[in-house]
Amino acid sequence: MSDHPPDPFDEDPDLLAAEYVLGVLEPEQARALEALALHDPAIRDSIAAWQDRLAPIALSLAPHPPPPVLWRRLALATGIDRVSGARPGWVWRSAGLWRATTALSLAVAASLAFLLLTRPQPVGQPMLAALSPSGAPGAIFLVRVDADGHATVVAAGRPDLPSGKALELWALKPGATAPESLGLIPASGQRRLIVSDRAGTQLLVSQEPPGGSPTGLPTGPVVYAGTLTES
Amino acid sequence: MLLGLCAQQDGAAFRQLYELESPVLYGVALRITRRPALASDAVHDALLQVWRNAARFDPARGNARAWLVSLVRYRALDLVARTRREVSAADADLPEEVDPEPDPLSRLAQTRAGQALRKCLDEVGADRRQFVILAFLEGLSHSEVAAKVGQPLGTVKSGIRRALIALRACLEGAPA
Repeated sequence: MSDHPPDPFDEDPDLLAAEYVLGVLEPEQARALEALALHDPAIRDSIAAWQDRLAPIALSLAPHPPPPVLWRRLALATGIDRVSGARPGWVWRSAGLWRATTALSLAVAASLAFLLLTRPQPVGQPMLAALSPSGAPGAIFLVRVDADGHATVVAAGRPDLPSGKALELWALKPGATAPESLGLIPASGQRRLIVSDRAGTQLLVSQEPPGGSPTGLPTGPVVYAGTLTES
Repeated sequence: MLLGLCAQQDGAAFRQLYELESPVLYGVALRITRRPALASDAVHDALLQVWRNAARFDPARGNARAWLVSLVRYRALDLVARTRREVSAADADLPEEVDPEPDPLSRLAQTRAGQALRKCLDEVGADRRQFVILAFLEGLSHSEVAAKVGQPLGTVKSGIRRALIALRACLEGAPA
């Protein structure tokens, strides 16, 4: 694999486990060790022992409270906050929605149909937002938030996304001065999110570095915005 | 104990685990990813693995907290690696990120396990210690560490191995 002379350390599986835990192995070496560990309890012991040895480095980092939305995501993903009594056959017939999307393209109509059909409706009215460039008509993203907080974001138009940038969705509550990140959204297709905000909240999309804003606040231009309204 | 209850789908235990550990786990994820959105995803995915019992903790094989933080760390490193690949695919440079703590080891001596590790890391020597910390917290491979510190790959590779061997000996209380 290399031109170096044979390395005596190569014979020490515990050291390989150490390099695995440290994260310096090449991906194929790491996968090979994982495969080996499945059948070799000694390697599993080695990995666990090295995790124990090195974990204090990670555990000594300054703790940082996660954003409140993280627990809501987990509670919903695990079903701990499950909303029971889904109401099947709920018909999405809303004047507000049609007003919000009047004269939009076929792509938008298709996206709406997608939003309608993708999951059973929980009790309560969903909310909708059509996100468009400021002062311009035409939704680029549609957001639907169900009463239980499950939200779907669909790219209905072609978002402006410079190469090497990502799009991040934010919620700005009425009266709030700083928005809260809801996560990254794809420039095409759809993404499920958790949104606990209610009607009147502004949803914003900003252009951010890959992986999202490093600061927890929008760092790039806000390119699309819209307000959540009861449908 | 909490972990066992969580694996049995005990919502209250899961909530308690979250209250207790999420600041530490999120702190680790944030240090590695330097992005709140990615850090949230890493903690979310790791805790969901715990809940679904997809990741099983074996009490005979080590410390629960170390195991939990390892889950988050692996997930965070995965997310960072994926983002890096996307960035290089887009042919752009990684942008400025949240400043990391200047000295990640400064708080290490606050726990007993940390004290022992700190002492052993000090014996490893400054260069090799830096390699280990870079690899552990930045998720850098041998060649990436070498590029970052401007030293030959062979030096970094053997330096890390010698550091690990010395750490193992030091932490087990055996002569290096």
